[in-house]
Amino acid sequence: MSDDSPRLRVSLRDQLDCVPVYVVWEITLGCNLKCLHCGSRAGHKRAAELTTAECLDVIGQLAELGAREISLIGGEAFVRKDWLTLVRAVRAAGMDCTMQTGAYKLSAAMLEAAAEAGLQGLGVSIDGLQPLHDHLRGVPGSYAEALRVLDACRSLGLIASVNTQITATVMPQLPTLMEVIADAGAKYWQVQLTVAMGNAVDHDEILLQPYDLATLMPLLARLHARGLQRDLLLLPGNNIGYFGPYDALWRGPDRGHYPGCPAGQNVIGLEADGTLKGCPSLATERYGAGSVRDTPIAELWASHPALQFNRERGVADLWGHCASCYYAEVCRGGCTWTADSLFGRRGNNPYCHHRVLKLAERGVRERVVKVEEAGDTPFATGLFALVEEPIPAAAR
Amino acid sequence: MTAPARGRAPSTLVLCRQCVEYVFEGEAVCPHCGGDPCQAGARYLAAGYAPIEAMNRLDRALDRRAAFAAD
Repeated sequence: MSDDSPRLRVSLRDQLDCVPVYVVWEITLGCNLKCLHCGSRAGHKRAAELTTAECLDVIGQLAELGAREISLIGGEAFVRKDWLTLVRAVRAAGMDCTMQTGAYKLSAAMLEAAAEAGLQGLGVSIDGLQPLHDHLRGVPGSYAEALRVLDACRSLGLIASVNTQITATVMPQLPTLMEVIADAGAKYWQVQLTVAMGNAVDHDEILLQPYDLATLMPLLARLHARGLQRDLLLLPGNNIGYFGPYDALWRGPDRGHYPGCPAGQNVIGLEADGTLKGCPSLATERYGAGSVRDTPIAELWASHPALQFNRERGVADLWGHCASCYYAEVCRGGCTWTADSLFGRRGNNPYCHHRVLKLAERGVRERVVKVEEAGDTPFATGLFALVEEPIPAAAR
Repeated sequence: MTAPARGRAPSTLVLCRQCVEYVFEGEAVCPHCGGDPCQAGARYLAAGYAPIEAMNRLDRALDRRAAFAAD
């Protein structure tokens, strides 16, 4: 699961040649959980998901383009009947294969079959301790299932990581949750802020406010240090940042600093019906680059306008505080998904620790307020307003 | 036949050795702490950033060499 090995690390050559090193592929939108924060509103499969033959062709095209890792996601990837066939095909084409899962009803026999097919790592979602996790995932018992699967991975020798969505309510639970995860044998813990998309817009009370980063980031720094003692490496997701006093701690030792959003430059996202995007999480209506059913992937990748926005690394898209930031040229507004989902426009990201600290020097903080609901389609976004206000005396 | 995709890489940031925050390579004064980014401070030395930074510099040099060897 780690991207620290030289083979998987994005090199300068990869950046210059726009090699799609990482592919994140929603192989079905079908899902057996009902997550309150699900951006893709997964549940039922899409009307016209790619057939097995079409998927195998896609795998061959991605290998030719130089992809080195395909991560299968959903929905819930394993509810698709041919998922093991796809795992085998990815490995046979010379690429690494991992999978992200909610783990509900993923049996030991299925895991064993996946390991035999060549699956190299499994990322299991755990979003809090049992009551909170089961509430967020919408299915009682899903927390126990996730822990059971982590234990089964350990028995099989399959590398297990945990992904945690950071919501407004999970922060106080994170230290205990980390001990649970370490006890369960996970080696990597990737944390990611919940993004205002799909179901999370409907339940916007679960979203962190930008000013919460002033509390969250020192906490993550402490957990990072504690994790090293427990042989558990805390990895920041793409929307954890940026720069600030702790970036060197978790990004420095192996990979240097945050390099800006890699969507469309070194990352490809695929939806189950064949829609290609620069990142699997981006809003389809603004970032969908057409279907692999109609056009070869190499042609879409080389020329479709929806995939080009990061490649020249320009700063023309930046606005708000990001436009005048010291790190603008490198960071470019951080995670495109996070900013674009809030405002319907990329380039201004209030979920930034450096920004929070700079504003705090002036006694100011930012919060987001929903002004428009999201539609009912997968990856639909709403609209949020950004409010700048004095930091209340009690919070100073 | 479509021309292959081409992109650019981000500028390089290095650690300010006073406050251990990132600055652009070549900065004479750290915009964060106002110190000399090249002068190693106590936190930089105590927390073991020197070997980390040395490895990062080596990584970058090898990366550049590999990137342009084919041109």
